[in-house]
Amino acid sequence: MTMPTTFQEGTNWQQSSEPFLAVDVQEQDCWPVDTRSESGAKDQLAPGLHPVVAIGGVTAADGRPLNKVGVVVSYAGAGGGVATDRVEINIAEGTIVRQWVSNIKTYAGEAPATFESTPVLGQPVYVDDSADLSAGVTLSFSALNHAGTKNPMAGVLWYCQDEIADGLAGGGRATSTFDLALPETIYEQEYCIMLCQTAQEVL
Amino acid sequence: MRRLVAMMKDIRKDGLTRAYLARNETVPQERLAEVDSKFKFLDDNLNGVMADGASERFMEVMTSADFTYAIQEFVQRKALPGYQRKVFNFEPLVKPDTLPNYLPVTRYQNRAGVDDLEYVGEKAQARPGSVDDATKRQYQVYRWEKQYEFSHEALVNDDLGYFEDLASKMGEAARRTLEKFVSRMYTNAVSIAALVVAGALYAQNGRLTTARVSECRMAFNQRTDARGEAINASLAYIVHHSGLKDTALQILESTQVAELATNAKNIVSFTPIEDPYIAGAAPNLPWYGFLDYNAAGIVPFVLARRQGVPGPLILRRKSDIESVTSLLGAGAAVDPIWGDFASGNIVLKVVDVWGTYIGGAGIGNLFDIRGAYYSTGTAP
Repeated sequence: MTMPTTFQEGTNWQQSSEPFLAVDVQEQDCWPVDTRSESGAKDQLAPGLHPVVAIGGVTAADGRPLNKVGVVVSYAGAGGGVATDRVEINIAEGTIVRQWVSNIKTYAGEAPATFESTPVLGQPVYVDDSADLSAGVTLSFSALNHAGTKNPMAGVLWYCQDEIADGLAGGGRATSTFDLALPETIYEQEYCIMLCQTAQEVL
Repeated sequence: MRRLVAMMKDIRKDGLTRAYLARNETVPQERLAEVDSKFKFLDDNLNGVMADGASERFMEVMTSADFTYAIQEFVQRKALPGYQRKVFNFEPLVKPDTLPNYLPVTRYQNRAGVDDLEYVGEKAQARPGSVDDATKRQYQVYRWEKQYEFSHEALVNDDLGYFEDLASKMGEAARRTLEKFVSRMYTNAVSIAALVVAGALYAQNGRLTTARVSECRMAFNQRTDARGEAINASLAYIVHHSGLKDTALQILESTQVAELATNAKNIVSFTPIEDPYIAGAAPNLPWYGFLDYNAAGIVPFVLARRQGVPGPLILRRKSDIESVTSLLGAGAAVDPIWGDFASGNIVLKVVDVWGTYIGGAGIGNLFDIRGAYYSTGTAP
């Protein structure tokens, strides 16, 4: 399995041109980032990294899981987890981005218990601060983290632009190449995510 | 070095003069003489004329390593030219068509003659003949696009001109996409299945050899119309996997039919076209035979474009910014590099419009199956 220690990077993370609604956020208010996770050793923000993060308090008392979620668009700062560094985050619902996703579906006894082996289009993914996710991964299929605290919904699985069928017009894909099968063990894979928090209120 | 020391002496003397002048005094001669003396000491050393001076002259001791920043750091960046793209010259294989809009158009082709004549006896009437219905083909064009978005900062910071050839790269991408589109017309499984099911005159499994090319030629020679009447069809192009380039050239250059172990003159003649998008693993490399649609009236494939869009267009979102000097005064256009008002992003897209006949199961993209021949290239 791939265990990325670096947040989503590269030039193909952006999968939709619109919508775009950027807000300024301070580094210290983004999680799971740097020390603000169960492991305390999450990757740090840096120019060129584009993780999906939650904004605001990480505890239930601070309003979790009703946090706003977005994708880091740009970052200006010295790095190294400086609390006042400026982070530009696109919080527009409907934005589609490529992200690492852990297949952890549930936890039991503070350990991963079940895994999503048959992901489907539109399946919700959550911002998960559990230590069982690699340092570069912020998303999983689990609505609760390993301590049983509710995770904010990040969005739903969606087609990457090179996964949707285009055979209708003579393109190369007669059917979708969206990956419908994952191992029954802990596994991390890139998926495209449409940011949406429609289930946020009902959690 | 002597000039520098002399200059330093003059600067020191001038400085002393000005300092005393500021206090309304005259610089004492002994101070000026002291400067002259020190200069003479240094200058004599430099000249090597000092009687009891140092055994070695003053020399430059500054090296590059003494200048950590100003001259030590060597900074040279430059962008190297990218790769040359392999081109697929598909034009002879597809009949071009121009459509007025995005709606499906319909083309009809009469693919048969009429009945043979029959003997009639004395006082007998001729029996009625029949005329075949036309073959109907419908197709339409679609937009094919890709969008690129750059931050204002990224383009300003691009001192190497890394993005300068982006426009030409976008044009190349459009061409490459079209080449793949054309390649898929015959390499897709549905088109291949249509040829395979049509039998030995349309498909085989042999690798590309002189004999197989002859078989392909003979197959074309046996093409018949919708009523089974012989029609003019002859092999014109062999489209092959990149791994068969030498094989195709060797067949053309050969003066004998090697596979027949004879010295018979090679009568094989065709134009080889390399298609870099055909998939295959050596030695099982597929190849295709096509005829010249201009010569035979048999059109294996069509490539439709929309009227007014003969090639790819590169479009840029127009900046919604203007520069002003007063709140309500007239504005002036600004350079496109300022991007859009909200985010400063510069957005480009490349657009092309094309389409082909998509017949579905049993036909694939073959406008007329009579124009094509396929080999899996698996049989030795």
